[in-house]
Amino acid sequence: MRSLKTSLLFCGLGGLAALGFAACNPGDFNSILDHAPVTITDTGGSSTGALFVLPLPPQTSSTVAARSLVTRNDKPYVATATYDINGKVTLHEDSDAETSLNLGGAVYSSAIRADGTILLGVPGYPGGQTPTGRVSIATTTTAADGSVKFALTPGPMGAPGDHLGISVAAGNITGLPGGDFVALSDSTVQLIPPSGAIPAPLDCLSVALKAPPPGGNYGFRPIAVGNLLGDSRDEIVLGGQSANQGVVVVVQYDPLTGTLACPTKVFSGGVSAGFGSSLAIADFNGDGNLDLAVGAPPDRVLLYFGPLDSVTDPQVAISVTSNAFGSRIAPLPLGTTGAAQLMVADPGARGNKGEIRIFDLTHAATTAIATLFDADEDSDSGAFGQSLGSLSFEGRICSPTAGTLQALPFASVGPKLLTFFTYNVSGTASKDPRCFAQTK
Amino acid sequence: MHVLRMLTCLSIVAVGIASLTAGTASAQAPAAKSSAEQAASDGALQEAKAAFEEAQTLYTKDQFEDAAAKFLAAYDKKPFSSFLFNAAVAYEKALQYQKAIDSFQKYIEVDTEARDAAEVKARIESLKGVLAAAASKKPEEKTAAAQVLPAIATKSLVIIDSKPPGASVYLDDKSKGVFAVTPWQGSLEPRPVKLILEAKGFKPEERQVVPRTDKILEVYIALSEQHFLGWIEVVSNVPGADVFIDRREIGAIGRTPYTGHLKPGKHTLWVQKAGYEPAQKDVEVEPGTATTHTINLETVAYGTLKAGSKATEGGKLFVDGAEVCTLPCDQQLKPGDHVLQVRKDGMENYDGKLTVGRADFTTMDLSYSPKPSRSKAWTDAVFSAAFFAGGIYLGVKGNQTKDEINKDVNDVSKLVTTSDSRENKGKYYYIGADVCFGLGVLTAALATWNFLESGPPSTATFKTNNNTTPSGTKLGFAPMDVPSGAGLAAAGRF
Repeated sequence: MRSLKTSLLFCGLGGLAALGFAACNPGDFNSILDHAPVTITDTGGSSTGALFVLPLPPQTSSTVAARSLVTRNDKPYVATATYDINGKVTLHEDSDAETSLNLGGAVYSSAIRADGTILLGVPGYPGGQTPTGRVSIATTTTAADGSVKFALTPGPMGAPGDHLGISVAAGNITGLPGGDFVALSDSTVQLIPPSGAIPAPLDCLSVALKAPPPGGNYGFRPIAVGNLLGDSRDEIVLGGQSANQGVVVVVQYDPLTGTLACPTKVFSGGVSAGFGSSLAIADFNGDGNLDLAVGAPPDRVLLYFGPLDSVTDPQVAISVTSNAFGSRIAPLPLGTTGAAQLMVADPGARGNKGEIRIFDLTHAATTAIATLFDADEDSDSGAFGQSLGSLSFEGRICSPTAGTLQALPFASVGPKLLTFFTYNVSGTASKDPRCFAQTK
Repeated sequence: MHVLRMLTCLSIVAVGIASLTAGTASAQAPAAKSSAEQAASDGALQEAKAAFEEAQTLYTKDQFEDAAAKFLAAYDKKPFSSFLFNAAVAYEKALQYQKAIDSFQKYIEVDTEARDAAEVKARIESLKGVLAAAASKKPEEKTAAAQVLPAIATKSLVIIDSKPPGASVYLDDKSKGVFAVTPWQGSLEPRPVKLILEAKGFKPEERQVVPRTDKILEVYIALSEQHFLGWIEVVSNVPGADVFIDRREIGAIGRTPYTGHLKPGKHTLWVQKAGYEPAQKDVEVEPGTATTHTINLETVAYGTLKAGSKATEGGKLFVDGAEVCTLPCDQQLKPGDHVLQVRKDGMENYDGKLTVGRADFTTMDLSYSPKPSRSKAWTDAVFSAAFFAGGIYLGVKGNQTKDEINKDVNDVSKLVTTSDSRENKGKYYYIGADVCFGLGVLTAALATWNFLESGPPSTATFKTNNNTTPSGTKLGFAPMDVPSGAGLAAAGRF
């Protein structure tokens, strides 16, 4: 009888423990955040350096929905982030590229041409007190897992201390097949055509590139490339300054001289020293022409709807009371209507933790339709929105409410990349719109 | 043999009546033998006494070999077996082991009823062993070898005789039963002792004497006839049973077989012994008559269990599931198999079985085994409860965290990230809860084990005596005298 009671007691205890274990399975948390609105890609470390994220073209894979190149401005670092059709992101760090490819320093900027060639800007190359900076052309091969291997071809260097490569851009500037790169230094604009001799840098006394904001190692120099004037070639748009006022200049390629000509169009904005601190080119109003958005921190973003041949003043001015609104801007092409929304970073918002506001300018609206922020801002370091943009998914991930998703916004905070799969958009359902059943 | 010795003794003591016993003896009755016989006997006894006392003197002077010779000389004069014993002791002291062995051997051959026959035989064997071991050794080694033998001393010699012979001899009081029957010679402890002599038809006599090891003590008592009393003999099927006459409260006056005088009239006799039902008989005693009363005893119809002692008091005794008494106690039990249990707070139970026979007297020597302390069990139980409470608390916290995350994930205005720190926090809550549950079960199991753990059981040993079962078989004969004549009385125990 005694042993029976003991057995029953032990059975009861075992059952109680089993219930406890079943009710408290740590594995329940393993997938609880799979459908979290924001995917985090952490490049690791406690660095306060910033990321630069370059969206890459989707590859022909049934499992990879999107890719991006991720670099850091605090150390030689090259990685590709791949998003599978379930939205899971995997970071493939290319340690070979960081070492054997001899980047020579941290990558501050990158751009990709239509043919897939990538230009990496390393303004700190080769180190020391007066680095010349260097840009390198990288070709890529894609492994089965979606990661990208880089083959690097060193490009031109700048003058000592001029930090060539602090900003780069790509487009069809010369009209030559393959497209062109443009690399900025502290004082020059270097055109890098697809082949042949590299022309002399822009030599125009009327152009003074915008001074970098204080605090950064080499800062950030705004540049954008796009066909704003209605001709057959893209123009280079630069943020500059004149008499302590911000200006934006449009530089064109002169096929007769084979060099960049002095600006034919200058926007002064006439509003503040911050005018021209950031630039973005896209069809924001949905009329089929590229438009120019100019950030004018601390409180404005101005829109110039293209073609800009006869445009001198902004058609739309977005004004937000802040101390850093417009420090960074980027287009968010949704792909459904052909128009792009405008992402505006405001590092001063949320107690200097930063936020990004998204504007839909198809109806010249100046009220943000959505606001992005870092939900972990209390524990994360760095400014949210240092790098921002959109990833093209080309419909590989669907939304039950919005149809197939063409692009999703991303932003960096310190060493982390945040991809916003869903967010509250005014007038739309707040339910998680993702749908992972459809593949392309 | 006994009769011969008796006759011999009679011849010996007839001479010594006047000089060695109290004056009352010689005044009460004339000597039974002729003057010539008394003179012859007296001369031999006196020579034996002289030799004995001389031997004792030499013995005390450590002249053992001479002492032994004198003891043997005394024996030649009077063949008292004690002389042989003393000679053997003296030879042993003189390291004359072979002679000592011979004398001891002769002693037990001569005195076939020697009370110390077993010890003497063992002594002989020991001496033989010493003799064999020391056969090749030097004299000093023999001395050393002899040291291992137990100490031994010479005996006193007491001679008790009476007129008429065949009187029962009691020592100190009659309750111990008959010590001997006259004539008797042997050794007594060297202390004051009261001799009681009693013979049927004669008035009992008492003498206070002090035996000595260096002197021969002769006691001769002439008993006077008593015709106005009646003589009774109480016999029973149970020897050694206590005999009570008229008043039980004053105690037993003797043991069966009992003989003695009684005043004429009605008397009540009781005979009782442990293990037997007491028996009673009313008798009528006529003056000058001798009657034999047989009072047989029947064994009791139960056994007795003497359970526990002062050291084990307080325990409850259960017999066949029923509580019967609190230890220490005597409990009568029906013959047969019984299940015993003793319970006491703080002690492990004793469980056992006992087979009881009629008249069995069983002593139960109990030894308690303390129960293990439950403090560790309670400590484990408290820890277990704490672990379970902690597990429940952490589990609830984990559930709350999970609910919060799920709620926030569905609320896109919160923009929860895939690396939300609450994921790990929730995992830690659940892991903590699981660890607590595991530890809770473990400590609960330990607590259970410690609560149920028992120490070694209490134990008991049983010793059963049955007074109705004879311890040995003995057949003896004693001279007796009855009014109608003389003869031998036989008493047997089987």
